[in-house]
Amino acid sequence: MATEQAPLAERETAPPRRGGGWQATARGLLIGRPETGALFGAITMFVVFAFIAPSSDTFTSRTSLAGLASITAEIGIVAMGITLLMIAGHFDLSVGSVLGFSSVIGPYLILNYGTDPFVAVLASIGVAISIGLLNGVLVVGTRIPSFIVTLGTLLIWRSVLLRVTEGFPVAVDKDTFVFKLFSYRIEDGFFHGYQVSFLWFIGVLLLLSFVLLRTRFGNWIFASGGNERSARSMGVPVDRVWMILFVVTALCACLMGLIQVGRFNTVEATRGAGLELQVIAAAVVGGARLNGGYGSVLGAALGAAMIAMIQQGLILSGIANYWLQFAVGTLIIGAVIANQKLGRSRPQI
Amino acid sequence: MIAVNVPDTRKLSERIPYLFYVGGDEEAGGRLTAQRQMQDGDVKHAVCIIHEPGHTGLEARCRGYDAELKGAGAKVDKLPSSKDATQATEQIKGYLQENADVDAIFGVGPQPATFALQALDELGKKGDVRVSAYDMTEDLLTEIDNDTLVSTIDQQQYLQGYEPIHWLTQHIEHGFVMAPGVDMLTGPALVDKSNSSKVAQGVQAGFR
Repeated sequence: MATEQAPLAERETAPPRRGGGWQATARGLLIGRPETGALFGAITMFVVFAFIAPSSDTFTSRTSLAGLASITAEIGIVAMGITLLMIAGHFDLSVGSVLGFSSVIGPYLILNYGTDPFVAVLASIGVAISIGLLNGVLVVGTRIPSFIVTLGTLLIWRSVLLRVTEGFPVAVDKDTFVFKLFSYRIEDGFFHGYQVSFLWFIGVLLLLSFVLLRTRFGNWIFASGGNERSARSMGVPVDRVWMILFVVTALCACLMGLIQVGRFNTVEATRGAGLELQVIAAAVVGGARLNGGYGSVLGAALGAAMIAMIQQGLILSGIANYWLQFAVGTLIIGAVIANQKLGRSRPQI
Repeated sequence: MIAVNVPDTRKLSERIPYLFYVGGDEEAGGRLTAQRQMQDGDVKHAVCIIHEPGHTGLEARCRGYDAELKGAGAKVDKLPSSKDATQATEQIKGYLQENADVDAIFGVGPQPATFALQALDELGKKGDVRVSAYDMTEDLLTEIDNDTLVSTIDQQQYLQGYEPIHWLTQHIEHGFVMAPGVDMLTGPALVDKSNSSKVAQGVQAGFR
């Protein structure tokens, strides 16, 4: 898997690599990459939980791995989207409300207006694009920090969601085909028990990694977050980059919402609440800087995997889930320290 | 002032000075759930799933369930779960994988009960484990009709809206009061297959 590099300015100021065989090669592969800490952390965590789970095969059983894949996929899809935004220097705290609101629209239209399910899903996607665009326009147009703008839209869309649903769950037929595209559960073979959401996750991982690492737009993302003024002076359309990334983040939240609608058939008014903290945690654990210019799509995916492993690992180890937040908090602090040591992530967070 | 739905559980001398409390008795609801589950046979290992750890009402539901079942000799665990649908379902699946002998589940609200049913369905064990919920949704009533949910608890919230207005009016106009520390309970009321169709009519009419 290819990994992200620091923006051009940092790459140019990095010290030249010394020659010296496999150590230098290994150092070149690992040191200075945003996701290195997350990679080591994920491997270590997997080994530890596999070892301490009371039944030796519990953590590595098919059911457990399928569960890890489901949680990783959903947190990871949104975390990867928000990571691009963070690299470009912004936040989106409204992802949970966007998820809830965009995923309730489809079932609501089907239930109340008999809308064709395909059209209803398109409406959900359209709502997500519109909300993302609105976030972008507000940030670009007013120059108010995205933290504030999206804190506002978090509350606004949650309120609209509560008004639409009147606080009650909205349900959709269990076997609606279009929703199964997002949530089909494999019933036999090697991947028995896995949700198709993991394929969506892999797809988003490959697509966003490609965009970030192999396209001009990816360079613009790093440049916009690394040094906005320099980026503008070099002709980078910073405002457009930001608006597109707000839309991308909202679409990722919508995708997670559609996956959940398909699996659970209902959307309750609280759907998605608190998601913003989990996905930002995954992005930070994955090496993203809160002040922009640095981060990794793969790192965010690994960060999501670590949060999933903590959740499953604590339960399978018989440790009360009351410790979950303690463990995630420790993970965030530990990951930032590790990223400082292993990468070029400076203590600016 | 009358407290509705959530009482102040501190000592009478320390609590908010309301006239009385109108609402359900959460701990009694937990006990009632346990009693109903035991009507279908002994419970050996049960779990109470709580999606908002620290919420006094939800903790009280778990406490009542725990006390009733432990009094009958059962082992009872408490599983604090995520509020996220996928994460909660996977946590419950993980717990059930590690505790395959669990024969009774109590979700302290519609969400954890629904996620427990989803987890059991995906594990191929739906219908094999007694599941009970708290509060009502149309889906939960359907699960009761399908024999996949043993029971749920109705707090009869319509009365929680009606009674305070009625009492406040009488208090202002005629000075009616209640003795200090005495509350007006609207629940718990058990809903199981024996009365689910009647309850469903009430739901459709907007009273339950």
